[in-house]
Amino acid sequence: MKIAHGSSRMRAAAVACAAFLVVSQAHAAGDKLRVASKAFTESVILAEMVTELEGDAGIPAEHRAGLGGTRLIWNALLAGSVDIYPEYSGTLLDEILSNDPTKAPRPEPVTRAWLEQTLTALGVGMTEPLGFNNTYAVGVTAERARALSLGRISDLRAHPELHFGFSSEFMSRKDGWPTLRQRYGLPQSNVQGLDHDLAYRALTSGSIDATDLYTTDAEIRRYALVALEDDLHFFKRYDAVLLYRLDIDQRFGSKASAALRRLQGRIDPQQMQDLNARAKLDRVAEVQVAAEFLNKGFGISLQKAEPSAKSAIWARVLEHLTLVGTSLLAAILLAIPLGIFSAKNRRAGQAVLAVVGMIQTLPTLALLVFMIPIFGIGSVPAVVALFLYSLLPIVRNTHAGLTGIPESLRESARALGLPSGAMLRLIELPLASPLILAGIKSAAVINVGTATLGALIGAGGLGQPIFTGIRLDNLGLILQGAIPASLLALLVQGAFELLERIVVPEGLRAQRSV
Amino acid sequence: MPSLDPTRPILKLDSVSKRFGTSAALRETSLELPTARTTVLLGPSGCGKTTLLRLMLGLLRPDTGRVLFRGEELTEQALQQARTQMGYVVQDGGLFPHLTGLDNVRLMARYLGWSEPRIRERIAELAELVKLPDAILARHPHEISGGQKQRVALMRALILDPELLFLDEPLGALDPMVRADLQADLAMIFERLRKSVVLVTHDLAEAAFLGHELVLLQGGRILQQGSLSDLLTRPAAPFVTDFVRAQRSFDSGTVSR
Repeated sequence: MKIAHGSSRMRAAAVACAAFLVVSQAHAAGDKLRVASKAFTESVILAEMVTELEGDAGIPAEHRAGLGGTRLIWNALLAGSVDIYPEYSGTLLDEILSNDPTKAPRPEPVTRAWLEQTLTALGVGMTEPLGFNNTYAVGVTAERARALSLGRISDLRAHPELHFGFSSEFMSRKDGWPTLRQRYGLPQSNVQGLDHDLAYRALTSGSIDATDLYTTDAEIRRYALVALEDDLHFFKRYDAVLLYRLDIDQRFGSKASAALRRLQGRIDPQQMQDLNARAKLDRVAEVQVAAEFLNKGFGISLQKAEPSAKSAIWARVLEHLTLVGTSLLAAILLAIPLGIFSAKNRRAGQAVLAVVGMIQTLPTLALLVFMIPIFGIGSVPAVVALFLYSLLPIVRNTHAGLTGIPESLRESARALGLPSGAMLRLIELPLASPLILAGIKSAAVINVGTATLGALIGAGGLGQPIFTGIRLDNLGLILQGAIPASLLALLVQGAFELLERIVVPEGLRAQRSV
Repeated sequence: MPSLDPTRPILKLDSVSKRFGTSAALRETSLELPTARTTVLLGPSGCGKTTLLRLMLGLLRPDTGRVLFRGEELTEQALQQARTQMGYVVQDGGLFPHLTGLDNVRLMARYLGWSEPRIRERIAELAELVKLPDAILARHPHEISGGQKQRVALMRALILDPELLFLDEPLGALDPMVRADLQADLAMIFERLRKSVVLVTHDLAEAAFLGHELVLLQGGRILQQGSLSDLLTRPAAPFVTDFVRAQRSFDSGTVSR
């Protein structure tokens, strides 16, 4: 495992702990092959094909679509919570395997044998390329290409007046614009960074002349673009392959990996571009796009019916509520005692508040990624993350509610002869209850929003349609997630206001409105 | 009610002192509270009278010296038990806002597991004593007047029938009319209960009206202990005379009962 390379004992203990959790989780969910994809259309379509092909081979498979990033999905593969996912050779070499310290010296150029050996050592297998190379390209409109007779990147040298607009990622990558310009000796000085989607619009409106794109982008068709030939072979190859855990054949029989190999060399760049366009431009569901391709190429007919939009939304709402409810309940059970502790022990209390405050500042996605080695992917790490985020508002408000009780009341209670336990139960907690409840309420409302990010690690919920919608540029789909999510937030808010009437003592409610 | 020996002090302070930071709130003080009498701790702000009261209640621990309740030292362990024998009314009543007046009053009785009929009977008795109708008791503290709050607080302090009753400026926050009313009622209540009472005030008229024994403090020391006439006719220090004069000039009508 990746994190096992650390030397300290603490780390070893953490790894042992993580390994245990992963193993126990793997057993629990061991009956299905888990296919995953990254959060972009092409990856989802490919993973959907794999899922269908495995199903065709009689192996039950499920697809966790749109996980939030390369490192995340790779770690999930190593940890065993993902069995198969589509990857690109360039990403594998430059991003995933670039800094693995245990590996044998890397030959230059990389040989197939070295790559296989390295992956095998990690328990990972790789198929042959699927048939297309989705790499960077420089794109111009077909119209402009004709007018200036541009066919190759080298042709750009003759037109120093051209205005380039590149995505900010391309502007800063080491295989991006600066080195591209050097390699080809490009003279253009009018170059700006801008958002990828805006770049296409700027291109068609003529305010820029060229931008970076991927060779299988649906936008190539949409905006009638031409990808200029990389005549100096500057861009790395990003051949699509499938990565899989080598243990799938043990677990599901040799048909499991055989099903994957059926896709080898079967998808050419034009086909992939069409499939992407079908999903992104024609708004056909990725499941459907994959099924059509398999039907045509493999004679496999679609097995599962798409659930209706209504039941799909409802299922997402339930997933969402489960994420929020479970994490909130756990947070309440820990945070209220923590808040009481921090109110009663001034110094230790400050430390507790500082720690839960620090957790709050961690970016959500970073926290989610951090948890993959420990909890895998799916709802468990999402619940844990939401639980951690819920702690601060509840701990802080419990602390504030208890320390805000006027000294005269505290003294009255002590003078009555109430022992501290009874004083807490009968006097202090009821007096602090409006603030504690407000803390729980804000934790719940924030949770409803944050839980949408759970979709990035395969936890489902209302984030799923939102991120799919963003990926497909499909406003309807985005709204299918966003509207229920906001309604849910309002509902939670309302539910807590009702709860307030039950939980908060009458004397405190009236007093606040005076 | 436990049998009390009226000749023995119910509470005794033995060379007690207390500092807050560098300032001495109370210097080496000894004092005996007579049983079944009303003792008034009197003096200007910052004289140490509230500190003295809090030491008696065990809300503060003395730096030196001992506090003896019925002849036994008031240690941390003895405190919990002793407090059920002490009632305490703070200046603003100290009523718990989340509870009705009634629930404030019966809190301790319920906590100690008294039967409901016994609680009801005791409350009826006390309500009559402090002249508080049931309808007022059913309200929350923010819905009743300052004087009513003090009556509820007094009921709460008396519910367990304590031997010793402490009142920290119970009339301080009330307007004059309410104050006069409650003053008269308190005098009657103390008379009827015949409990040992400790009252803190900075008002000489109130002290004279309610107390048998006056204890005048200044700068963390007891200047004089005695009756009003002792203070008037045999002042132990020039400050005693000054204090009496200052108060008389404002309030001459009510100084003598």
